Amino acid sequence: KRQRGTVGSRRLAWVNREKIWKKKNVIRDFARIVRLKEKNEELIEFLDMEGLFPILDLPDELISNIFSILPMKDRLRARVNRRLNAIEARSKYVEKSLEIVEAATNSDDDPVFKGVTRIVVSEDKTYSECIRKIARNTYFESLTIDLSGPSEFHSMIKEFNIGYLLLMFNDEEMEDEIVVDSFFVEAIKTCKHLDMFSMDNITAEALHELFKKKMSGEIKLGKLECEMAKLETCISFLRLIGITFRAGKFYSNRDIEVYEKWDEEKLDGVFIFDGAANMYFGHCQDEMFDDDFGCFSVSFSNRREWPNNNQGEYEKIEVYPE
Amino acid sequence: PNVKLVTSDNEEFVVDFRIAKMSVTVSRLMEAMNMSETDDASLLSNSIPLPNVTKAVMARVIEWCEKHKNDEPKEEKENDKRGRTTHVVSDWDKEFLKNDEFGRLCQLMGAANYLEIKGLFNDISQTIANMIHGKKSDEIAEMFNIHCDLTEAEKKEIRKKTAWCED
Repeated sequence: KRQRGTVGSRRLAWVNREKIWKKKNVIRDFARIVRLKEKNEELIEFLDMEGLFPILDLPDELISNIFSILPMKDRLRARVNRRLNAIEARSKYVEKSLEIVEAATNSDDDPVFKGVTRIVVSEDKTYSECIRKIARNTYFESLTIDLSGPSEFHSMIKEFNIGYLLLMFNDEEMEDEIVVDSFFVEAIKTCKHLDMFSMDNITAEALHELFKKKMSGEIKLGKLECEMAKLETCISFLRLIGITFRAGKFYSNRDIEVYEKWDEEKLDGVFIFDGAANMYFGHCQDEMFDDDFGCFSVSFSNRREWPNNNQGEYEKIEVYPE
Repeated sequence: PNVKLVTSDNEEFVVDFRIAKMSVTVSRLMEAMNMSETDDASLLSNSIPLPNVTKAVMARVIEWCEKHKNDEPKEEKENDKRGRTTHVVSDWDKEFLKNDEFGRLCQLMGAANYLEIKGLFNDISQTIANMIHGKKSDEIAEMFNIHCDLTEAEKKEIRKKTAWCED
C-alpha cells in the first residue's frame, strides 16, 4: 500500500513537477529552435532561451576559437563530450608561454616568468603523448624548460616550435651530459632565441654548424645566448669562421669590425660584427669563474646591434690581415 | 556618407560609412559593388545584403560598432610577450554583453564572425572563455546543458592523459 505524503511534501512534488515541465519546455523549445534555424532564422528571435547556452549550436570553428583562448587547464577540462573532445584535439593552442618543470616530485615554486602556466612532468610517462600534441599544435612565444633528468624530457624538445627558449638545469653534471652537440643541433632548430647557461660540451664545430645552417636559411634561430662559455671553444669557433685571435690581437681577411669594452684596466668584452652576425664575448656575470669562461652571444643581423644597446662603451680596434 | 545594410528579415539599416567599414565583409562587398565614400550616388543606389544577420542581431552589432568606431587599432604590448594571450574585455563591453542571453550571445558571435568584426568577435569569445575558466568538467557540462556521450572508458582515457596537468 502506497503511503500518502503530507501536504507539504505533495506541494513540493508539485513544485518539482512544475520545474521539470519548465525544463522540458525549454528543451523542447530548444529542439524546435534548432529545427527552425534551418528553415527560418528570424524566428529564433522570438524564443526565450534563458539558462541554456547553445554552445553546441555554434559551428566547430567558433568553438575551436574559444578553446584556443582558454588557459590550458580549462580547455582540457572542457572536453565534456565527444564533439568537444574532438574539437579540442584539433584546436590551436595560443598559450604564449609555458614553463615545463621536470621533477620527480611536485614542486610549488612560482614560475620564472610571472603569469606563465607552469606544468610539472614527472617520471610517469603519460604526459608525453599530450605534450607532444601540444608541442606540435602550438607556437610558444616563450618556453622555459627546467630539466632535472628523470624522465628524459629533453629528447622531446625537437617537437616544439618556440620563440624564446630558456633551458635550465637542476644539476650541473646532468647539464653537461645533456647539452652536447647532438642536443644543441636539435635545440637550434626549434626556436628563434636560445638562452642557456653553459655549453661546456658543445664543440666549436657545432657552433660553426649553427652558422652554416643559418647562412643557408635552414634554421630560423636569430639569437643564441650562453651565460658561461669556454673561451677556448669561442676562439676555435672564430678560427672556423676566418677570424684569428692571438696574443690580444685580431687577424682576419674578412671584412669585420671588432670593438672592445674596458672596465677600468680590465678588458670586459669584445664585440665582433661580420656583416651577418653580431658576436659578443664578455666577462662572466658570476665572479666565481675565472678568465677561461665568459658569456657568449650571437645575434644574426646585417645591422650592427650593440650589446645592451650601449654603443658608447665600445671602442673600435684594428683587425690585422692574416 | 551613409551606407544601407539589409538584413535577412529585410530590415534596412542606414549606418555611417565608417561604421560599415568596421566589418571586413561589408567593406569587401562595398568594394565589389564599386561603392566609395566620395561617390554619394554609389552609396545611395546600392544596399548591402546581409543574409546571415537578423534585424535584432544587427541592431546589437551596430550598437557595439557605434561605441568602438573611434578605437585605435590595438597594438600588442611588448611586456605581454611572455604572458598568455588574453583579450581584455573592456567594462563597457562587459556591460554590453551582460544583457545578452546565452542564445543571443551565440548569434552575436556568429554575426561577428560572418561580418568579420574582430573586436566584437574577440569580446564574445573571451566572455564565453571567462565563463568556462576555473570550472570543473561537470560544472561546464551543466552550464552549457551538454549531455555527456563519452563512455566510462573514454572518460578514463581522457583523465589519464591529462592527469599531469590537473591540480
